[in-house]
Amino acid sequence: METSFAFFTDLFLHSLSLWWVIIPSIFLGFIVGAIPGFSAANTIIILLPFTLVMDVEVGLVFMVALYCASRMGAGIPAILVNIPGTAGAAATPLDGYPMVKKGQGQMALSISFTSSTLGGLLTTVIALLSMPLLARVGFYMHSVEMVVVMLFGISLIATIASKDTLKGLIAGFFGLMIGSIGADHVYATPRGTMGFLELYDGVPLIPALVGLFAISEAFMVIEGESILSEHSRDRLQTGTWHQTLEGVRITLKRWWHVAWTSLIGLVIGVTPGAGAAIAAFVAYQQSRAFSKTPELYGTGHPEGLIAPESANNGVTAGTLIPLLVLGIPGGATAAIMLVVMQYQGVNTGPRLFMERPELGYGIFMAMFTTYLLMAFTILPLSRYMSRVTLVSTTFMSPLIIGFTLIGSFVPREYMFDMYLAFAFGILGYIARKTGYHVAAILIGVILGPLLEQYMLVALQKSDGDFLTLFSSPLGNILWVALVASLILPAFMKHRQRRRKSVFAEGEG
Amino acid sequence: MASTQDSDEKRQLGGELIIPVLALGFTLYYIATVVDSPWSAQLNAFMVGSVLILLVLIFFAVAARALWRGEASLGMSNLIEPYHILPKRLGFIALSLGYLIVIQWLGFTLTTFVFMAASMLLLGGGRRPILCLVSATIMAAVALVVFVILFQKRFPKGPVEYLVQALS
Amino acid sequence: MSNSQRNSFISSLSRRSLLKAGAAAAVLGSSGSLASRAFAAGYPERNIDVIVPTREGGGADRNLRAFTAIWKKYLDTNFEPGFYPGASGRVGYEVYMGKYEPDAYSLIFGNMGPEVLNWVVKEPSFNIDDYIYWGRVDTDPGCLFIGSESKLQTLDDIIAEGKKRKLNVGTSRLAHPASIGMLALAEHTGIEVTLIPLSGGKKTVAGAVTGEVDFSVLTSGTVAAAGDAVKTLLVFNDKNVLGEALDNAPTMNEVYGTNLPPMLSSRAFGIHKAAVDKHPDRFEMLQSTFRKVFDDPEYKASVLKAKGHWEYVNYGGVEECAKFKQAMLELGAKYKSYLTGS
Repeated sequence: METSFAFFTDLFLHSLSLWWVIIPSIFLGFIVGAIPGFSAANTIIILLPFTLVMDVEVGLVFMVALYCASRMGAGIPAILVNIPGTAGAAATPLDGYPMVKKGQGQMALSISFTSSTLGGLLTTVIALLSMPLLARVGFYMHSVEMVVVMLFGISLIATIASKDTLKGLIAGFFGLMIGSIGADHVYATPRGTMGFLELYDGVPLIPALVGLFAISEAFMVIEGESILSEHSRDRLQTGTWHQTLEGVRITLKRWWHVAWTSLIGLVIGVTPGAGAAIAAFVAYQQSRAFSKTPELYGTGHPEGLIAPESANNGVTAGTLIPLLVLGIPGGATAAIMLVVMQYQGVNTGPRLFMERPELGYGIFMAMFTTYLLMAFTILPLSRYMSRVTLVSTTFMSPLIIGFTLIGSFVPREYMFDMYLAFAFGILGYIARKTGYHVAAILIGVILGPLLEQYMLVALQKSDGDFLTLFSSPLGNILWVALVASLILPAFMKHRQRRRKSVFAEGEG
Repeated sequence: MASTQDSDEKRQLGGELIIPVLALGFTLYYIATVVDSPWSAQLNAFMVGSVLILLVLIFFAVAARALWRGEASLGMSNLIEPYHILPKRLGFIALSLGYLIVIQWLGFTLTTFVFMAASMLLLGGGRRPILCLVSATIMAAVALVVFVILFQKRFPKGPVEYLVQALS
Repeated sequence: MSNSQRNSFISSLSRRSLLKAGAAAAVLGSSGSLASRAFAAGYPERNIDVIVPTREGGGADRNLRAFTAIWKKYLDTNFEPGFYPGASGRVGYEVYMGKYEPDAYSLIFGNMGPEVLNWVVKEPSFNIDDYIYWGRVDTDPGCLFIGSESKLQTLDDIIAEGKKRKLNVGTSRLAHPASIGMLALAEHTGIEVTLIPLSGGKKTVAGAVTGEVDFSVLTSGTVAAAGDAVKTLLVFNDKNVLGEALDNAPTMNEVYGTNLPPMLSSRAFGIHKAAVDKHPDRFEMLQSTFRKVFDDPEYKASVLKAKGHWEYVNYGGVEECAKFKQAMLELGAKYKSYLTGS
C-alpha cells in the first residue's frame, strides 16, 4: 500500500475535481441539518435509489459531504433559535443562544462554522494519517470504560447545577429518570411507559430536545417584541462583516482549544455505538473543567460554543474509521454507507485498503475537501443568517412551534411524538420559570439511557459485581481523570482565591 | 402596590415545587412498574430513583423550613408573570394544543395554516393581518411541498392533501 | 496507485455518469407495470398497504422492495410500504391489527422468528391467532461467530473455555432464534454462558470484533456482510447454504448429532385472519400471484442486484408458515423463564 505524499496530493486534487458533487451536497446537507428531525442518515435513505445508481465513488463523496454539512447545519437553529435539531447539537445552544441574545448572533455562527471546519479538517487529517491505530480504540473502550465516559458527560449536571445545587441536581436526576423510560435492555420489560408502545424504545430524542429547548422558549419569548434586547437589536442591525471576522479571529486564537476538543470527538466517534451527543457534552464538560473562567460558561462564552462544535465534527471523521478499517459501522450514517458499498461490491475492512486504497483514503480526502469548501461557501452566510433573530416574536414563536412540532413527527412519523414534544415544552416552560435548568434535564434524558445500557453490559459480564467498574486499567485511568476534572477546578479556584487574599494582605 | 412588593421579597415556592412533585410522582410510578421485574430492569430505579427521592425530600424539608420561618410563600406568580402577557400566553398555548388535536380532522397543511395565522394574529394583537396571513400561507405551502410532496411523510391528511393526491 | 488505475478511476467519475445515473433512477422509479389483469372481481382496485414493523432503509425494507418490484407485475397494483418501527416490532403489529381494515388491502411484512418470540415474552393486545403468516419470502439461519482476533478461534476452544468459566455471548436481543440456538448449544455441551443483548446487529458484530464479548450469535446474513472482521464457527440450520461466505462453518446438528430445528429469521407476509375468512377470493389471488414471483428470473436478478443472498430465498405458503409460527411459540415456551428473567 503506497501512502506517500504524492499519493495524498493526487487524492486531494482528485477530490477537488469533484467539487460539482461536493458543493450541491454541502447545501443540501446544510439545509437538512438545519431542519429539526431530519438528519444526514434519513436524507441518505430517502435518496438511496439515486445513490445506488451513482458510481460508487461519487455516491460515497456525496454521502460524506452531506454528512459533514448536515452536522454543521444543525448548529444554526441550535444557536439562533435554541432548537437543536439533532442530539449532536444538544450542547451547542448552551453558550450559542446566550450569545445571540446579546446580539452576537453573527459572531456565534461564525465561531460555530470556524470551529466546525477547523475541528473537521484537523480530525480528518489525523484520521488519514493514523487510521489503523485509531481503529484499535474500539478494542479498548468496552462497556466499563464507556460507563466512565458517560459519567464525564453526566457530571455536567453538577456543573450546571452550581448556581442552585439542589434544584440543578433534581432537574438532572429527573432527566435521568425520564431517560429510564422504556423496555429494559435485557428482558424487554416495559418500565414507566404509561402504557404507550411508542415509549418502549425509550423517550425519542428529537421531541425531548425541541420540546425542552425550543417550544418552552417560544412560550417564554412572547414576553418581548424580539428574542433580542433593544441594545442587542441595534448591535445586530448595525453589524457589518466585523462580527464574522471577529468570530474567525476568536476561534483561530483558541486553536489549541479547537484541537483538543475535536480530538475528544474523534476518539468518541471511533468507539462503535457512541455518538455525537456524548462527544459534545464530554467536550463541553472538559472545556469548562480546564477553563480559567468556568463561571462564564452558559452566559455566551466563545469556548463553550467552540468545544461542542469542534467535538461533534470530530465525531464525523471518527465514525467512518471502524467502518472502513474494520468493516463495522460506528453510527447510522456509516451503516448506510456500508449498504451502498456492499451494493457496489466494495469490500470494507482491511481488504478495502489493499484492493482499493484510493477509495479508502479517498473518502477521508473527500471529507477534508468538503470542510475546506464549506469554509468558503458557508462562512460568509453567517451575517445574513443571523438576521433571522431580528424577526418579531409575533412571527417567530408560531414559526418555532410549527417547525418543531413538525420536526418531532418526522423521524418516526407518530402523532404521539408531537404530543410528547408539546408535553416537554410545557415541562420546559415550568422549569425555566421556576429556576430549574432545562439543559440539566436534557443531559439526563440523552445520556441516561446510554449509561444504563453500558452499565448493564458491564454488570451482566461480571455477574452483577459492581467492582467490575474498577477492573480495567484504562477504565481506572479514566476514573482518575474524571475525579480530577471534577475536583481540580474547585481546587484551583480555592488556591486562586487564597493567593489573591494573601496578596491583598501583603499589600495591606 | 405593596402586596406585589411583599410577594416579590418572599420566595415563591408554589411554582418551584411543581418539578419536584412531578419528579417524585413519576419516580414512585416508575418504581411501581418495575417492582416485579428482574434486576436488570430495576437497576436504574435504584441508582437514579433513590437519589432523586432523597433530593426531593431534602428540597421539601428546605421549603418547609422557609415557609415556617415566613421567608417564603406558596405563591405561583413567578410561573405566571408578567400578568399582562397572560391572556396571550394562555391563548398561544391553547392554540398549540389545538393544533395537535385539530390536525387529525383538518389535515396537516390546513391546520398548519390556521394555527400559524391564528397565533400570529393573537400575538400581534391583530396588527398587520395581511402579513400574518401571507406568512401563514407561505409556511403552510412550504410545509406541504417539503414534507408531504417531496419527502412523503405520513402526516394526517385533510382536504388539501386529498386535493394534491387527486391532482398528481 | 498506478497511473492507469488512477486514470480509470478518474474517468469513471465523469459528470455525465452522475446524470446518467439520475436518469436511470427516475426511469426505474416511474416504470409501472402493464401485466395482465385477472379474476377476483376487480381486486385489487387500489394500492395495497404493506406495514413494515422495522425502520425504513433496513433489511426488511430492501427485501420488500426487491420482492414487490416483481410482485406488482402479477397483481397489477402498487404496494405502499408504511414503516412503523419500535418495541421490537410490536408497534407495527399493533398498528396493523388495530388500525387497518381486514379487507385484504393491507398486509404486514414481518419476521416470523423474533417477532413471534416477542409474543411469548409479553402478549400483544390482540389475539395472536387473529393474523396468519401466509407468504414466506426467505429464511436466514442464526449462526455463532468470533471476531477475527478473538482468543477463542475454534469451537473446541469455546467448549474448553466454557467449562472453565462462564462465557459472555453477544446477541442482538434475547428473544431471537439465534439466542435460542445458543442456549440449546450450551445445554447440549454443558458449558455456561451469559447472553448479553447488545441492541441490534451492528453492535453485536462490533461486540465480537472488539472483544467486548467472547463471541456472538446473530442472523447469518448480517454476519456474512461483516466480511473478514469476523469468522463463523457454527450455523443453526440443517445446512450451511451460504458456504464460503460463512467460512464453510458446519451446522450444530452435524457437529453434535443433535436434532435442533432450524433457528431462522424468516421474513413473511401476514394478513388479518378475518380478511382470509371474508374475502377468500382475494386471498387466493394474493397467494397465486405471490407464488409466481419466485419463478420469475427478474426476481433473482433483483435479489442479487441488491446484494441479497439468493440461497436464502425460500418460498413458503400458509402451511409452512403456520408450522414455523407454532415451532417458535413452543421453543419460546420452553425457554420462557430465561427470556423473561422470571
